[in-house]
Amino acid sequence: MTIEGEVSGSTEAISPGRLAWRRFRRHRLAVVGVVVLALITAACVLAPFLTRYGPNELIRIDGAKATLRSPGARFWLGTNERANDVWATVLYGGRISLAVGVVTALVSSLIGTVIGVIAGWFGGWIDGVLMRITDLFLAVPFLVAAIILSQAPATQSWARVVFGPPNSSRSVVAVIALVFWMPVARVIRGVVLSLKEKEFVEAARAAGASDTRIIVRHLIPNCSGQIVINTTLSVSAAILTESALSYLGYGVNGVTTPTWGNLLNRAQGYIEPHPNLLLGPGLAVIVTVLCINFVGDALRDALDPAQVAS
Amino acid sequence: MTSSGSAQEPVLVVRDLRVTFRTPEGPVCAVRGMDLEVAPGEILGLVGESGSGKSVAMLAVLGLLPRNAEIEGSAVFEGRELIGLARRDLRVVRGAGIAMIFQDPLTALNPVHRIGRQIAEGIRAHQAVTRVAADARAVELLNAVGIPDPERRARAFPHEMSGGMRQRAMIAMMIANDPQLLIADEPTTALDVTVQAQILELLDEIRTRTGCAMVFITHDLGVIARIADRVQVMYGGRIAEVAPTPELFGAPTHPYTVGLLEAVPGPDRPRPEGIPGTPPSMLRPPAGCAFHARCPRALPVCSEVDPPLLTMGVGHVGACHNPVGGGS
Amino acid sequence: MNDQPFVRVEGLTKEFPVRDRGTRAVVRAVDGVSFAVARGRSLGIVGESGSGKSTLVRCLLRLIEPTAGRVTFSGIELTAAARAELRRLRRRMQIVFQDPFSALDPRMTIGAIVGEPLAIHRAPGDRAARVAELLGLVGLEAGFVNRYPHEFSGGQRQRIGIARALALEPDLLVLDEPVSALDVSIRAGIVNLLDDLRRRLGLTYVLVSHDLSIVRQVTDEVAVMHLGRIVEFGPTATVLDAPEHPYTRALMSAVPVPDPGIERSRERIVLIGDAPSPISPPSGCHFRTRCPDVEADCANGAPPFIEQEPGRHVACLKAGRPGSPER
Repeated sequence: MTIEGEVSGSTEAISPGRLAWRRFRRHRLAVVGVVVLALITAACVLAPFLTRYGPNELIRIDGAKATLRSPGARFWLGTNERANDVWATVLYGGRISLAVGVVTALVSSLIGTVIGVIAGWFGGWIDGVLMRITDLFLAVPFLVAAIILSQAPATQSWARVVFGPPNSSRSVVAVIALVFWMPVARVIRGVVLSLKEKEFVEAARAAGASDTRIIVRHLIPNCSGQIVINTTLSVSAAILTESALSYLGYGVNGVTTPTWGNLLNRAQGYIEPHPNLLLGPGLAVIVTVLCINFVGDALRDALDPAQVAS
Repeated sequence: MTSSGSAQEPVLVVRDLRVTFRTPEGPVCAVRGMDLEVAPGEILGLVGESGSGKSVAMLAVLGLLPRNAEIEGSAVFEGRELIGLARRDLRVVRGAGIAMIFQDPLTALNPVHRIGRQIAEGIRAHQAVTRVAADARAVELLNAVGIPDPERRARAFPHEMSGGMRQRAMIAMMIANDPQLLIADEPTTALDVTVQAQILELLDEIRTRTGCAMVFITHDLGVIARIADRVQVMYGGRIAEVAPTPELFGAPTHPYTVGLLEAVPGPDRPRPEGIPGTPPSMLRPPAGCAFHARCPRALPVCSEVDPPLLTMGVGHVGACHNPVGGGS
Repeated sequence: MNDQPFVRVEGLTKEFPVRDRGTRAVVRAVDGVSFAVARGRSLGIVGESGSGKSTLVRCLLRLIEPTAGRVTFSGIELTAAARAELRRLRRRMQIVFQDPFSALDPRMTIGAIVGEPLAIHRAPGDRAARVAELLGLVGLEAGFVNRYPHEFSGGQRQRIGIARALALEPDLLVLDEPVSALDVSIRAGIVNLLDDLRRRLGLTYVLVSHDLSIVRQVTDEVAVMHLGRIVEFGPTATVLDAPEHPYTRALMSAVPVPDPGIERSRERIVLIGDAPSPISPPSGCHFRTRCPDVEADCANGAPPFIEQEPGRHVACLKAGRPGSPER
């Protein structure tokens, strides 16, 4: 008694995820971006194999400090004012910058998603309160807020507990995440508002599903596209913000831990005769951010819910 | 062959129209060799379900398809070939010679402009008249389409009007330049049935008053019975059957037409049977007759050879290897 | 079928607040509707846009909270039920939606979709077997369980929606325009399926539709709605073939019949003007501004719901009067 319906010719199921991947693959720039990002990440992770110097290692040649050497066969990017190998500092610094970028993006997306979903689904006064809080956070210029917050652990003990020691990676992550979650919350709230009207959500309610079940099983999976896109683009924004903060001197402590940002800071005084000190971390940031943005744009196209599956 | 306008030249003659969309998944052959003729003052009903290509064909004639559409074939309007015509020249034809009304007036009308202004602009795009004259004509037209209090309504925005009124406003805009041909793409599908009755009455009246011909695209056979002089049934991008309305309903020859008529409940049909299966994918159009997989009268030849267009009667053709009632 | 109606609606009203040019106003989507459905019977609710029919059935299931009125289901007062009881009752009444493209969660496999009600209520037994059984019931292969909604046609998706609605073996099935979004040649298959299921499973239906031919085929009784009120109620064949209310007559006249002989020769009642705004409907009878038989009294208060014959009601002053207008 079966219907001669035409289900698509293939023999295995094609999940929405796989369809999105197919659409993504068509964007050559993004695919190149993924490859480049993978290479950069691998290089930073495998730093010990790519250089024999440590990031803070004072290099001596014939007893004297090897400061400000030009790029050559021995030191691919030259050495800096503290006699560290610049190539090594960029590699190890990348670890921190990338990690900070990714963790910040994840944390801020988490906060934003939770707030957006709750505000969108429950509506009413809950939505009102949450959105006013969001507006409040949005009203503060975020770099200023980030700077102020990053100084808090130095003087306030509660801040030290929550954010960690001043100028540490952990505090930088916390600070940036606190100023990054708002756009995510707004976008996710919008998606949830439109999902609420969909009949499959009504069907779940009609079947007796609890709010929790609807949120977890229906809303969040259907927001996943937006969440992925936002998180990806947040990574590049976070890397840039960390660079800016560190460049200004408010980020991760440059003496103990190099990051691309504080490397740029330290390169300031030496730009004229030694551009390699700036180019090393500078190019690293630019290439990484560019690649992430290509990937993010392609994801936006691949995960666009307006696309109808063929 | 037609009810009005006798031995005059047809207003529009389409021959072997083919439309293929280039998509990332491959070419989608939406229209695969379609012919069509409309006589002056005639209402031709174009019937088909999703994937039949009925809307795409008419959009192709007017050059309204996106860039990834490849169009071949011929569409002659008043002696002029429209396929491949330069955009500038096509724009002159659009709105003046041939006008088109769509299913959803809310998306077809500009939401930030007042109705009267939009109609006036349409007039001034094709006729050399002053603003004042165009505005006055716009009010006249709103009155002619049965909108009460037309002066006040001319100053209204689209969202302030009901669906039926918006559709009337769109009709007013489209007949403003006295087109010879009006293409109506499912104009009443989104409307309530009582409003639909009013719009159909209006279109019939316009045809009688101005003598303009119409191509009425729909999937609703009842509407066809009401308003069309001749009917063209399309399936899978091709013609299935063309006939004068009474003959199509009374003596259909194509199995798809028969299936369509039997899928709708009627006085002697309390329990209609649908057509099993689904329309074919235009990404991989089937060889031979597009309908053969669902056809109760399919012969082996149907899956291999394109059915020829056979004459079934006066003004009646059908594309079938095994038509109902035999064919010549 | 016993005397106690299975579903009883009394004075159901639903108001929505709106902003009408700056002032706060209220739209009465459903205005004091009352009717009853016996067990195993099928009721059709017809009306055009703005009639309130979709809102009505959602209030019926308490998917929307009614502003006033009472719904009784199998003797239990649904409108007063607490959360836990409501959840229990939801097992017995389900809904099939209009749009097969948004009624199924695009990220779930159809096995998960059809089985979700079973998961929610922790139904005992072999879930996979039950899902396979349900798919078979609606004419789909059991092997489809791992596929996603976008791989199916509109008609098939609608069948999946029906399978989901039947998962918990409900007694009442509400169908909101179940075939309007489907191609004509596909509709018959779904409508016949619904008809068969009703007989086989002994279901009670409330079917909302603007398509009168479907209502004629599947329902025993029909309620015609206009601007939130029921204007006519009675056995389907009688109401559709011999309508009494002027609105029902206009409706029947407006529906095009796929028969050019009949269509061109019959007398048409074409209403003048647009439907009134639901925000400020005309006083008294809402239809009076377009009614061909209107009188002065029609503006005084809502028209009475006159019972012309047992089970046949018409909300019109002129109903049942000697010398009523000819059909």
